[in-house]
Amino acid sequence: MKTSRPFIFLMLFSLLFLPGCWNSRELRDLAIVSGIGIDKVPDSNEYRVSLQIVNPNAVAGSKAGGGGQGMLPSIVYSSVDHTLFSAMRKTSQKVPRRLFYAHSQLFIIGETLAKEGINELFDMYERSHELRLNTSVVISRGIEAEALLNVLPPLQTTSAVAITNGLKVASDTWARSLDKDITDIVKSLSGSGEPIISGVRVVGDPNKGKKRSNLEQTPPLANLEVKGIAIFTDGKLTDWLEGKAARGAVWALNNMKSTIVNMNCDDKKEKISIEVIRSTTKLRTVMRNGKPVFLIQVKEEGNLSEALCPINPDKREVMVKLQKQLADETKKEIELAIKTTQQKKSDVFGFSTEMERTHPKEWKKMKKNWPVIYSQSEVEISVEAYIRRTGLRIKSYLKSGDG
Amino acid sequence: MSKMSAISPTQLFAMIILFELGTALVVPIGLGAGTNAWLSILLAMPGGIILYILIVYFDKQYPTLILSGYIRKIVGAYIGWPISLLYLVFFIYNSARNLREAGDLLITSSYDQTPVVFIHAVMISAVIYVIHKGIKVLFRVGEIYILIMLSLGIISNIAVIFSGAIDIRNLLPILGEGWISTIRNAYPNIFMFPFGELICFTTILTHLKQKKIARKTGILAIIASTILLSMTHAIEVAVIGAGVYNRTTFPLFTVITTVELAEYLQRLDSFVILALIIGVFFKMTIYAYAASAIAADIFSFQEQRKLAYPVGVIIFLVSVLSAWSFPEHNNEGATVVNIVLPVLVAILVLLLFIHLIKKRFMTDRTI
Amino acid sequence: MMFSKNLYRNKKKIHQKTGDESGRGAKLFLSPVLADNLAHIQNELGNSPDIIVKLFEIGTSRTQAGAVYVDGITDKNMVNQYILHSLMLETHAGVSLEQDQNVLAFINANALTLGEVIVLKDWDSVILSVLSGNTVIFFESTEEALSGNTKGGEQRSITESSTEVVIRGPKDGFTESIGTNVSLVRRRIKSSNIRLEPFKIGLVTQTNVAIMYIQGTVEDSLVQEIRIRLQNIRIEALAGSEHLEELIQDQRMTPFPTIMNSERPDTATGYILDGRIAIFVDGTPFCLIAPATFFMYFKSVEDYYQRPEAAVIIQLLRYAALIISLFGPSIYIAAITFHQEMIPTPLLLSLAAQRESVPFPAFLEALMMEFAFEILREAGIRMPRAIGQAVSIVGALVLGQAAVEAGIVSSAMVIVVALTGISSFSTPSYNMALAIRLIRFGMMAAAALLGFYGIAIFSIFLIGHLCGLASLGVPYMSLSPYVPEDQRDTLFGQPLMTNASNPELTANSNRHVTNGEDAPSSSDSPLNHLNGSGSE
Repeated sequence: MKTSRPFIFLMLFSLLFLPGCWNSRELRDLAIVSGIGIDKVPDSNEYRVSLQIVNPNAVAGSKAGGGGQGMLPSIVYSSVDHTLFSAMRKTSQKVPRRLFYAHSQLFIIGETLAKEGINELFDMYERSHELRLNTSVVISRGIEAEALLNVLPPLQTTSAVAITNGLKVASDTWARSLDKDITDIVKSLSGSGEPIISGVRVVGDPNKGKKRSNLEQTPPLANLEVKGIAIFTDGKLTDWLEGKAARGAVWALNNMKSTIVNMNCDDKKEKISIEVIRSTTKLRTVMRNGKPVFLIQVKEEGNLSEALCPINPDKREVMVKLQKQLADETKKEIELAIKTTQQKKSDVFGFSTEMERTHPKEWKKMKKNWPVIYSQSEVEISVEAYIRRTGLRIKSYLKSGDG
Repeated sequence: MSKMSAISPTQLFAMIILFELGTALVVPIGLGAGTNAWLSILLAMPGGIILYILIVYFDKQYPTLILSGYIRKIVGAYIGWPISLLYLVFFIYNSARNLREAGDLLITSSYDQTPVVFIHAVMISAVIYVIHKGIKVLFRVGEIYILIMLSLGIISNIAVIFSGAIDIRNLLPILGEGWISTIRNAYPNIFMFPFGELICFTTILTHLKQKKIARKTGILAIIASTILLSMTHAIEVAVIGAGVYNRTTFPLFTVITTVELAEYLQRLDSFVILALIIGVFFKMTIYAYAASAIAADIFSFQEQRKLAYPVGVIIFLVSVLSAWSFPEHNNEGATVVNIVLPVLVAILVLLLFIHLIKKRFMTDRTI
Repeated sequence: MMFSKNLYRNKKKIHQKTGDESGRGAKLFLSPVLADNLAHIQNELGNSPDIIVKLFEIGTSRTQAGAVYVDGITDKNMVNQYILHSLMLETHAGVSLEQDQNVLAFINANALTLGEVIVLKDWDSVILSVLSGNTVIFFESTEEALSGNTKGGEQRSITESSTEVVIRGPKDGFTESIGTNVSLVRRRIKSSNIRLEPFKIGLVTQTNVAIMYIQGTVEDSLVQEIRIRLQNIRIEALAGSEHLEELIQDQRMTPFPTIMNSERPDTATGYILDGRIAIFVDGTPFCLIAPATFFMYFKSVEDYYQRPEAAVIIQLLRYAALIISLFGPSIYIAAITFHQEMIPTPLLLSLAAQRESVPFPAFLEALMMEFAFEILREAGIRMPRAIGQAVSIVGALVLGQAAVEAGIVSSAMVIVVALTGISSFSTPSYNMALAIRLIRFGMMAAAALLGFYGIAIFSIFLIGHLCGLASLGVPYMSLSPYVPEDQRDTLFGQPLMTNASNPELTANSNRHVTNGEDAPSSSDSPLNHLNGSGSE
């Protein structure tokens, strides 16, 4: 043992200088993929996979790299093949470096592909150790996923980063979109529910967005916008929830972080803004007469943040009225969302999972016919709303008509 | 035993926990128990404790002998020798299984380009080194690693909890399949893996310093490890859901990849890999030690330490050659858990009866 | 340089000769003729000019006598005042000194006003005594000689320890004199149970070595073990305590020090009170302490001088620094070449941009930087203090900055290496820091080969190795075997109030606190000989 130790060390050292060294990869040999886009090749069974690769020199702008200027922050390569993974590998023919996926933050599905079905897209993600399961997923609306990746966004380095961050921020503060990742989608696809994915579109001319000139003027020629939530039936995109319906879905899914609800002020339409700051939603299923009934219980808190009419929250009845208005508005929006999904027979809210958990016996019977049962079931929504604060003022400076 | 190989109760405690957690922490347990895996683990615990008490009882009856020693005392050398050999083969095989599991999981999780032979060789060299140093060193190393393991566990758990990935409702329905199914998952599956594997300690208890508290320490360690194991699997299911849990080869790894605590704390994969390496290391080392102890005993080999080399090499070869694919390896594992281990445990119980009958008979005769 | 080398060589030759002679037959005894004795000793020591032989007569009977001592290692005042003065001038009493046998006894009893006088009969002990700095007095027609302890001469005075600095705490440090060192410790422990056992090690150098411990506190078997190890040393020359450490350590094949050393008397005192054994070596200002455990090397005596809360935090910091200095570069290498997915995306991009122009693989880059750093450190230590500063400026500013700008190394690597370097300075023990420096390179190689898996396996080897180590048979990783009461002090210094007991591993089980009054007499201890200050 003793005599062999120097020998072992010698061996270890000599191994280091062997080429390859198995899994050892130098950073400068890696092409860091920041986003992956998938489109359907028209009239064929193949996928086009587009990979957005970051150019670290242009992004980090360090002086060690020398020239960072003049380089584009990201480059998009795409390849076509029958499976996603092989199309990704195929891209290696075009990229002078080894593709590295562990930092890809975004998975974009083209709308055309989504309409044909997304069921089979995620197996690669589950098997691979490099791809992250917490990658955000979006659907590119009215455009190919590749085109979305091609846009050079202002304020962010790459469009993948811009969409990921934008989606997060928009979902948390505006609540008309959802930041869903691969795990969530695989969970819904493997169960009896349906996935729900936010949409992103390009505002402006996508072709001009590819050029550096996009960044040289304001407003940019092409910009990215998070808009709408796609609902699926049997894994196929069937409808988009927009605006209030989208927000209703966010509420029902208990993803509400914060949003602004506008309400009527006497006869002025939508002139009071309530900022919802906290909201929790509970889904319950109960069996009534052998039929499932879904209960949605929302409990929310908000602040009065703007009133374009003279109201006096000093009075208890005013606040109670506001609270009731908020609850009604919430209820209305959720109903809107539920109605749309029921029409499309798309159980995006996870009632199936809830049934499975709380009524395992009944569930076994309903399992096969679930989409139909879902579309016909009764939904009861109850909202408890509280308006806690009114900001730094109580009364408005506007003079009320009746003095 | 001699002062040179005395193990303190704390060391035993640490080692039992490390051994129980071992691979059980990272691989799915209970063959598809899903939502109720955590419950099945708890239910399997009494079986583990009873098995441990049985082992301690044997040690009390034959304080200076290891498993193969008292097998031969009880049933005689002619029958005892082949039975001991059976245990020896099983220990070597299971050590190799653990190595294979670790190697395959390492390769799937991050070392996809590295030859499996090399991964295994590196691991087995550490095992050989520590066994060569002796059981005392092994247990001391265990005592240090339990601290590392626990801090890894605490950090990972905090990360998972604070990332908000836990959805307790994923654990519903409790007992959806009813008690029967949950208990059937516990016995024999979870009772055998990881609890049944405690039969390794038949070769170790004899080295204990304070034998009086061996039973208490061991039972406490089993309870502690059960709670940890049950909690970990409950968290795993709560994070990824029973569906994914049942499909994944490496649930803990999947859990940790979904955790995102902050921008700068995204992937704690290496923590899980570290936990895997530590767990597997101790598990296979204990197996390898048990194998070398029995080999030294039944082949009357004086220097047990020297056996580290041949035993290590055999384990290495078996680990590489035993199965051609990971699914195949898993199927073999099912056979081991369902058939081989129960037989070995049953032999132990049988030995107990023979021992008790003999004892009764002999005392009767003396009176 | 040349001169001293030659001198040393000559001495060596001579001593070898005497060694042969004494080895060949029985002891040589003194001759009754004074002149013969003086001639013999001068001849034996090669007529060296620093051997002073003073002939004189004692008392009215005019007994011929000769004092021999070596200039420079004796205290001249003592020789003049207590030997020559008292013998030549004060011994006038007309006592008959002709009766041979009484001369010595009489002189010893009446004339020599020295605390420590022994009677010598054979040449070996005479020569050793003279060379040790004693003054040997021969008398006409007497076959014995008296040796008076006049050790002294120029010595470094007690100064502040330069290797272990504390902010608050005693400022004295050990010197090269074993007597001084022992006295520094003894002053701090006024227990009658303290024991000092002398040894002479080195056939040529005859170096004084002493072990010190508190009986009843230390496990007897440890003392026995160390006695055996010291007695079994067969060596020509003992160079110092480092040398001794190498000779008595348990394992040779390890980079870790298994015997602690300290330049501070308060540290030594603390460990002696803990139930450990201190080993003093003449000529070395570092005393050895055994048994040592791994965690001792990360404690500084300062921890006991500061508030316990602060001390605990500082020790935590030190362990963090240990982890950084051990794993820092290897984790960086592993993360950057194997586990890029672990690095947060913005950081990864910035690292990638930095490394774009670096032509070397990360491991080679790290190795280069570490190597450069080690050279700088070594140069800084060996240089005169004034230049040492310049070295670090050149190293840090010129080398570091220029290398980054030239694109040879990435700035992240410079940060990692610098952090590692600074962390390694926070280990209080230089020996331990050296071991960790060495292991760090192995760890880096493992990381470059297999990433975190390599690091994990290397760590198992490392911890296995550490757990297999022992110091005087006591496990090095004293965290285990676990004795809970001991551990309070292992990792973190505890408040002194709660720290009354001694570690059980080293301590005697029947320890008891004894007062000076009812404790057994300590007269069996020959410490007087070394101590030089006489018995109480």
